[in-house]
Amino acid sequence: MQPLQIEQALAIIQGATSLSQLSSGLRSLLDFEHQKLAASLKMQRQQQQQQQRQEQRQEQQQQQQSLMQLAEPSLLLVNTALASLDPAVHTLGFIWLLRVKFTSVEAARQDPSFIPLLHAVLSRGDEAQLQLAGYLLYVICDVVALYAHETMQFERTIAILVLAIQKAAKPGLLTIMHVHLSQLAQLAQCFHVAHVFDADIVEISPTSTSLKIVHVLSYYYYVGMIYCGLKQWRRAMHFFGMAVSAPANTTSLIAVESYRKYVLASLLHSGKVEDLPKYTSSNVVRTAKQISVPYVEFAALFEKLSLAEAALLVASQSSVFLEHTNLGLVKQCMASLTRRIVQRLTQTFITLSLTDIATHARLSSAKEAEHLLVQMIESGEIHAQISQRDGMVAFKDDPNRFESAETVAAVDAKIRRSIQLHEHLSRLTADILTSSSYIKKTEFGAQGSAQHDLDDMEASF
Amino acid sequence: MATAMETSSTGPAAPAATTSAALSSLDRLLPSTPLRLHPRLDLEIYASNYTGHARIIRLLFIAATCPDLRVDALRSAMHDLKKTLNTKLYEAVGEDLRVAAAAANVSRPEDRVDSAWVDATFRKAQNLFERLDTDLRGHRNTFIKESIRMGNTDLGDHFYDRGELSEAVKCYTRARDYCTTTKHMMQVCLSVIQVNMEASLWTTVSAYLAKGEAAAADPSCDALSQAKLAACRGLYLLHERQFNQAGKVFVDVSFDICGNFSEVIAAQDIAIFGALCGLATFDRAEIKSKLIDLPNFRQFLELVPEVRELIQAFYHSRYATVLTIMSSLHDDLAADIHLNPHVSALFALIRSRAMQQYASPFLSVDMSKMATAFKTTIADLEQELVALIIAGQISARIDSHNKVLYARQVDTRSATFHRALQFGEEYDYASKALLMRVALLKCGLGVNSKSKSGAGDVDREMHPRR
Repeated sequence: MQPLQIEQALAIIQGATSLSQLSSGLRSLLDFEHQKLAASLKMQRQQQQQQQRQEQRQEQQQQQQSLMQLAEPSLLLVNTALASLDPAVHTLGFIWLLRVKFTSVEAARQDPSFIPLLHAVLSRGDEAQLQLAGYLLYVICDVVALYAHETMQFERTIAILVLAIQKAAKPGLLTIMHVHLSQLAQLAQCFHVAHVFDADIVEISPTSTSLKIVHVLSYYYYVGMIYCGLKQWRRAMHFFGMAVSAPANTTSLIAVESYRKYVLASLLHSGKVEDLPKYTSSNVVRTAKQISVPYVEFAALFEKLSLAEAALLVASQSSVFLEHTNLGLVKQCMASLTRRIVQRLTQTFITLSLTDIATHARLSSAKEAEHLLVQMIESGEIHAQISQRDGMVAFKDDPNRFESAETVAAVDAKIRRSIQLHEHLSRLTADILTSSSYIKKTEFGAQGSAQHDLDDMEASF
Repeated sequence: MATAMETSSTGPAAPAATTSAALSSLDRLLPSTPLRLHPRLDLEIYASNYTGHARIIRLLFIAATCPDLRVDALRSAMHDLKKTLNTKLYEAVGEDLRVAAAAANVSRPEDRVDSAWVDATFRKAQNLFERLDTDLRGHRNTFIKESIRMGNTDLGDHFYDRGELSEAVKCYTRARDYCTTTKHMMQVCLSVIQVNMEASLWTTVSAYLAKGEAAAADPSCDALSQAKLAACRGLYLLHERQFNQAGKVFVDVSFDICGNFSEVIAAQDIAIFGALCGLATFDRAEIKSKLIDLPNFRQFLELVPEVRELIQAFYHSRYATVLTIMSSLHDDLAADIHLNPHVSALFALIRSRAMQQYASPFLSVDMSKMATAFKTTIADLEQELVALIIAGQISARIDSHNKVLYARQVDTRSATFHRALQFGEEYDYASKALLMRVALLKCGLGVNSKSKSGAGDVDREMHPRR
């Protein structure tokens, strides 16, 4: 293929009015690239055969260099192509070219236009074409993730990934982009991206997304940590729980770490360790418990609201918690324990003096108790009035009577969501019921037994 | 008592070890912390309720737990032991008595161990054993089932008399294989249960209770055996701290047992155990129907008027009386070998029941009045109430400022809203988790080790990056 042909191909791409024209232009362009690479590889192979084995390694380096040299002129062409394409119109072609241009982190690092180009195509690109770009984008996002780790440019890369997920990922499908984003966001403490994870994932397709179980587990783990950062304990619990309860016949370290964080998040959410789903591998839970003894003990003390003993345990085991990077969560648990004790007092008392509250919650003074109560009243955790004249606190019932229009709307929305979910589940059930393998199995079983009955009847006559 | 034997055999060799707090002949029966009870019971009248081993063991238990009665109880036990063939225990008790009497400075010449009797009894027992053994061997050769059974039973009785409990159980169990009638089966079961209870082997007791109850289902079984079995079941449940079940079983024990099972339990005990377990765990209706109205159990209660009064006072909400009776009875009850480990738990349960009952009819309760009724201070009462409220036994809240207890008005409407919303959320999470799990399984994704590693191994390759 000659430069002339390349220009022709570019002309096709530029003048493309339909997707098919565009891709045919692109294909011819890429065919050219491939032919070139193949030719060079052929040459190298011939060279290789002539060389001694000991020299092979050196030789390979040289070959790589020559490959780079060979690729350079084509990169030039790609750049020319990129410059002549409009990301908003030729989105797919643009992404193809980016894919060719940035095959490695080195390439991305050497070219400062990497992130701006990606940003341009993702933000301005045609939605329909972006949807088709799936696999291409996954590969580019792998590079983006590596690039982020090497250059520490988290803000920009995270923005790219968020854009990519929003524009190109099918809603509800887990992709490698989610996995990269969760890890980067957790690393950079960019918790504001959590809104991406708020959309629940219910699908996975390893063939089209190149996902492995380690990706899935680390996705759950990192997202759980992000929600911990946002103090959304129920959601954090959900994600850690997913990592622990994933199908397994052996225990992964991710599951163990997740179990530990699950225990702490659960304590923070509801004051006790909630049960994991029934289908959780008992093997995993047993192993995780065995090597997380301080957590199990801490949880037991927390559930009993034994503040003093829990504090002792934390003091003696703080190095372990620190080593597991859980000391922060444990400290939050301790703060929450005091609050839980105060909350329990509201269940038991109608009035109680500040000094008594301080004794019950092991606070140093009535003043500290007052401070804590004010905080808790403001955050809506308890409903109470403090009388500063005689230092008495009057606990009230929850004033939320579920009568306002907002509550009705909120309840209504929840009911709708539940119904939607239920419908989704019903559809799945229907799919299974009508699937040929299910029918075969059950039908044969039924027929078999029916046949059996008939035989029995005949025998009895 | 097998272990008691072992300790007592070393007892005389090291008399210094025999302290006044723990008696060598009774180590096994005692709680780990030494008790100092001062019951008001009359030892002679108390002992007259029991015969055989029960009498000796109870006397020894009193000797161990009640310092005031120690010397008298040991004397009485020695006197009783002379009627048995148990020379080892006799010697051990004799040693304990010597130490105890010397400590209290009330030594009497007749306290001394009668070594002539010991030698004679030992020889007698030896001869008896040889005779019984020969007899049994003879029976075995004749293959007459009934004779073999009787031979085994006799040998078992002999071992029991000697205090060799494990040997006795072996003989009785062997006799079981030759039982032909329900009556004999029942006899074997009761013997095994009795001996095992004495040896504190409660799992075996449970197994034989089941066997005995199966045999008792036979219509030919007599009422007395059934009553005995029921009493044993009650004791077992009491030991297992299943107070509610124990109470129900004791209440239904037939009065036929009175005076007929004194080698294990007295009728008074059944009244006391049944009443305490009942008060601690029955609801008000059950207390009325089972403890007060049941004619059978009323007969038992006639024997212990104080306990009958306790039930009446409890039922008619005279809590001060209840507490007075309870505190006056405490040491007497704690001196009972079966009740001792459970007295405080039962009393605590009865007390919280009483508080619950006291508070139940009121919207608000003046805590100072309640404190008077329960003979305690307001501060202590508040703590007790807090514990009860937290345990969910009283639905109320305390106005600590004015010292008033208010019944809790449950707002069912709000609670329902709350529950419904929470349930909806959990449904949401659970369904999504399930959907995801289905997706994972569909793709065959899972944490599967390539090498078959055993349980408890951790796949180190899969670790999160920090």
